[in-house]
Amino acid sequence: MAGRIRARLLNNRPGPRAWIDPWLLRIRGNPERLAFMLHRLTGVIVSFFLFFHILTVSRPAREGSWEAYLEEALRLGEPNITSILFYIAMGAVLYHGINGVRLILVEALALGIGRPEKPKPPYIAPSLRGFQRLLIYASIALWLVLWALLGYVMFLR
Amino acid sequence: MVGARLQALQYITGALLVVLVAWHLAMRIPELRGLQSFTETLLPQVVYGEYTSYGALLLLLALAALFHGVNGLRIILLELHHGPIWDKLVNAAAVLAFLAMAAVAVHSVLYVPPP
Repeated sequence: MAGRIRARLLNNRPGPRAWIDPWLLRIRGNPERLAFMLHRLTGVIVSFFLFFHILTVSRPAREGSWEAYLEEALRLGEPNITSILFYIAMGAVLYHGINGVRLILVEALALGIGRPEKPKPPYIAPSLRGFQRLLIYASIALWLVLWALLGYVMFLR
Repeated sequence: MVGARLQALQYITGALLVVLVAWHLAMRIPELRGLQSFTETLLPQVVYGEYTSYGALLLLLALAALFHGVNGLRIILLELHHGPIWDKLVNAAAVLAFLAMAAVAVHSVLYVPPP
């Protein structure tokens, strides 16, 4: 009984588990939910990266010397754990930014919202069909292209 | 009312950040700076030049990003759990985190030493 209640609660209020647990994501056939989940996940990654980045670039001002900064900066040009983590954080920045532009276009400028209409079966939300769906796919495609280009600039040049 | 204003600021800083982060990332593209590689764009002389030429813009970027990031984390934490004590704790932590990181950002722009 308790297990069943717990399962129901977990289903309704999954918490942070819903961001990473593939059984709770429910993104099949729902790219908007995938975009939302990725926006949250990348938002958290970018926020913590921002704190780390501000602390890292403040080292010359705090220590009065560029030596430690230079040592860390040079490590970013070659594949190692620091540069790979940096690359992942940059992927999160790019996704969050591109999806953010999509959200501004849809929510602030009403792009692709369409006119109000009577609900007709099959009941598919306007955000899951037509232009809005295309916009989600386009933003994910643009993200992947830009992330790959960044990888080329960082590691292969 | 405060929540609505914070949400409006979240959108405004988000739109601002699209432009500022694009500029910040473009500064790391070597071709745009007349340099040879990504690592060259991170050299102290180059970064110090950015601090002295675009210090105010970098500060605006840091403050907008901090507000957007801290407020975003605050919203996520308030959605995860509810309660008067929790709400006050999260809001206080968000204000403290913003002020502390903003102080570090301001210090790093104002007191950066030449390489």
